[in-house]
Amino acid sequence: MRAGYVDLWVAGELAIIQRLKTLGYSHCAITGDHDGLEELRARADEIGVRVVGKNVLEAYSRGDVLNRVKERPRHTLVSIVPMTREALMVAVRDERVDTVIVHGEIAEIDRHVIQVLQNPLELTLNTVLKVMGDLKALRKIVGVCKTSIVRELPLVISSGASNATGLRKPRQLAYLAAALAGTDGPCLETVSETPLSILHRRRFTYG
Amino acid sequence: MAERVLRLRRRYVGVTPYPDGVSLEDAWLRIYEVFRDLYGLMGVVASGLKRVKVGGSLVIACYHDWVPELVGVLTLVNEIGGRPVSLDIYKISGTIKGVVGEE
Repeated sequence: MRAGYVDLWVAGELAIIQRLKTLGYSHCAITGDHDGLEELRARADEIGVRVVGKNVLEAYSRGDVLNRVKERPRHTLVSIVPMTREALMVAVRDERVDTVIVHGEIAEIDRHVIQVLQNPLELTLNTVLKVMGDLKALRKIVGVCKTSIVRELPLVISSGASNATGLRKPRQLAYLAAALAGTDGPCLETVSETPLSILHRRRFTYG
Repeated sequence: MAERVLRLRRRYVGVTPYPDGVSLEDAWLRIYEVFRDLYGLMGVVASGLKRVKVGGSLVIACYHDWVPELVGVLTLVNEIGGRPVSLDIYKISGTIKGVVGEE
């Protein structure tokens, strides 16, 4: 029996969390200002959704990645947006990084990156919607989806939603990678096992 | 003697717009537009994409091997008539009755 569905990138609003519960999610990671995180977490627990904080950080070099993850807050996920190949190579293997964000200008995920890859890649619905008008960027995103499915790389799909209409049912998100890669779907592990393993790893590490 | 014509299996996808108040006709036109943008005119033909008019429900039909692509398109629809909207899939079935009964 599946343990639950996870949306690993949403904005921190109560309406979003209520809609997540309606759609069948059990966990979510919220970005933005974490000042009201404890209160939001308490309200979300009453609704039935477990909430964790998340920081999304851009990095342009190896030093950037190392500096960004050095002072990670406790009980907060850290995701890196690698803007260069150097940052990508460091982000995919640093165990302090939880996910590596896939975007339209990401460096190619070739055999060298795959060889050192330890951390899951994360693709958001928001990113796919943004690149729909840009063939070059869409080609990169489709390439990452195909590589991840064929090579069985850990991949997480999240919504990246800033409001309730940006959310989708877990199975719909799971079909997204299959639809882009042209394979039979859905890839349910991208919205269930893979993100849950990230949450369990952090909870286990920090108690 | 007539040759046997290949009969492709169909799947019917029941869809509900969120939030309420969106015209089903507008939703169908937007789905068709996004599908055609992604997969082209030949994709529309090859998938057998069409709307099935069943009472007050929005039911989209396609051939069984195009279900991932159709679900991907439904996931990518984020606005209808300039209004932010998402499309929730409540059922995928091999029969129309199976979809309409679930709503």
